[in-house]
Amino acid sequence: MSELKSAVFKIHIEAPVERVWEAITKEKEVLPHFYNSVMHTPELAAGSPLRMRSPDEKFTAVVGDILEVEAPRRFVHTMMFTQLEDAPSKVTYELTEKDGGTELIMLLDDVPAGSKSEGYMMSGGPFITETLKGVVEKGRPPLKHRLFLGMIGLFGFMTPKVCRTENWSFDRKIS
Amino acid sequence: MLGEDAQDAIFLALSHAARRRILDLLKTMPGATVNDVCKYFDVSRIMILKHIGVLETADLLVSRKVGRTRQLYLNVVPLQAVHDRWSTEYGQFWASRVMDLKYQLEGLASGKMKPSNPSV
Repeated sequence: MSELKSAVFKIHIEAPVERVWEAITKEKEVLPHFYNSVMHTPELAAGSPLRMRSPDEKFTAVVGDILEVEAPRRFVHTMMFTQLEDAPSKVTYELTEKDGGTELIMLLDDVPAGSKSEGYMMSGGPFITETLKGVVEKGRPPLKHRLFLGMIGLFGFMTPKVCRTENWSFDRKIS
Repeated sequence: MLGEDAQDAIFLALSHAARRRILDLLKTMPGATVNDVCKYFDVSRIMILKHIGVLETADLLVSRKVGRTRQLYLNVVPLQAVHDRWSTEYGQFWASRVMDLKYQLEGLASGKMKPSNPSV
């Protein structure tokens, strides 16, 4: 088994904890901070499967299981990229009231060192936290991330077949 | 965009070689303890704790209590914000290309790398 790594990303958001919580756990809506994907789960509760799907629901990019839901302070789930064969990692969001806003800590655990997943997740940390800040504070992502989101939209046709949603139903166990 | 106070804290934190070294260590050893960090320095533990405090104030370092130990992590988000202040989308692309070229040429000059087709 390869070495597992952790990483932490922390950002201050000028908004109440409840609004940041809502942006992280919102279902059935396109979320720019999660690369324009839509979160699907039968129930926002520990033990439920979680799927991040394209807006048209044809593709599923990220799958996992919800481990903890403690609104509006703590949300923990496993996650793996459907196009990679790396083992699942763990993502923890911790929200704390601070200076009239929210201190958001995103903690990544069990990330396989040297894997492609590690590369995706380490670059995903700043993207997710900065975009979330933009979305919650100003209603839209920062300019550079808007450009990136535009680009991934253009390359959607390149998504591999393994990511098709029919392969990633709620019943499929994530090892 | 970070406020000026937050940026002052970042540049103050980065203005000391020992603090930059601590961030280097945490980049390669995420979750290291204070004891782990101390092993790499000849100065007192109290001094290291002071440096950690300065880095934490600037949000460049995040510490988390796990059981009885305190784990330390590098937080790259403020560095990204500082970088964004002076770079534009296109400038960022070319700056990174120029840096790639610099690393390639320096690698060649030091004999550590074989010549290859530069990507620029």
